[in-house]
Amino acid sequence: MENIEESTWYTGDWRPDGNNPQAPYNGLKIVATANYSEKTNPPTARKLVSVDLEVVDYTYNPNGVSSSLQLTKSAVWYAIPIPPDTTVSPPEPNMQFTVVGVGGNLLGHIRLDDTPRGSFVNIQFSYGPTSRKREEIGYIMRFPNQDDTI
Amino acid sequence: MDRIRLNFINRSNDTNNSSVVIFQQNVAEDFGELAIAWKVIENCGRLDNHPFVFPLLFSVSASDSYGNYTPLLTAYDGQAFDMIKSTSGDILQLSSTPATSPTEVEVRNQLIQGAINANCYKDGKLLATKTRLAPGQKAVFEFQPRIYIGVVSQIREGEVMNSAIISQINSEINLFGIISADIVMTGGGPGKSSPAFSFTLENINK
Repeated sequence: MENIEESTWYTGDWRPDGNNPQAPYNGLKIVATANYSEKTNPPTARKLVSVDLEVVDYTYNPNGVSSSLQLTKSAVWYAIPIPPDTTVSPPEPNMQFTVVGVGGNLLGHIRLDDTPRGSFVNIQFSYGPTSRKREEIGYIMRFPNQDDTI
Repeated sequence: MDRIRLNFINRSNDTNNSSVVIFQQNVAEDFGELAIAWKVIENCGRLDNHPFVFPLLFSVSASDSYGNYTPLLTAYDGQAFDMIKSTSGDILQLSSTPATSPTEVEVRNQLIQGAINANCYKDGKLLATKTRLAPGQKAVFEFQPRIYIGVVSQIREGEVMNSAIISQINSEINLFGIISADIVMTGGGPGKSSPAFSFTLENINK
């Protein structure tokens, strides 16, 4: 696989000019990297194989708390895992990661929707301080289904 | 594609004839938490629906200190508009100098004297405004394909919503690449134990 495209999406409360001095320090960003199949000889268009996602939550940590997952199938909801807090032993779920589900789901979800116009990243989660959870749903980015630059 | 066809459907248990507000936030400038109620859906009863169009482009207009409003001009990313004094009076025109950022639209007050208000519109409705721009100042606008939606009371289209109202609206719907979709509202109902209002997308056409 080869990483070809990277895209970053930010929540609506994201402050591009820097963090707040206190919590919530900032919003949340999702960095997505599309992985395409290897080059072939003779050259053919490379197909989208998977999308790597890093969900970084800055609510309670000015450096961000990351959760990583990989989407390999289309039209399947993938849970956004709560990352471990490795500063304690044994590691526990990191309580500074505020991303949870909507509609009674414990975990937030992301999926890839394959269409003729490309593969869209679809999100469904809430995040932020308990006093003000923000819901995020819908489509945030698109990757080509194949890379024609052979 | 220059517009998204949206269809609001009320599947909630609301018994207060609540209004639903939809708005956007200008990401180009830090306005604090102020926004304009772009669309307010009223009297949409249970199982009623309310179709509407969400344009991806917006228009700009300016008003001067004499209370004159310029015609709406369609704005494209990277464009800038100058409010100038012509032989006919104050007019807003496309500038030959583009906006500083290719993703933003600027409205500049190039009058010798007199403040202006810079206004953005979608579907003919006020979307955002920046008031009291002194000569030499500019307003910068950028909107992402994202709407904020929530249940409010006593708000009218075109009104400024303060931070207290905005803090009640915590649902963001991302519309990147969408051609049409239903926005379904659920939840609500009588009693303190009723669930919060929730919004989901259905019948999505990308």
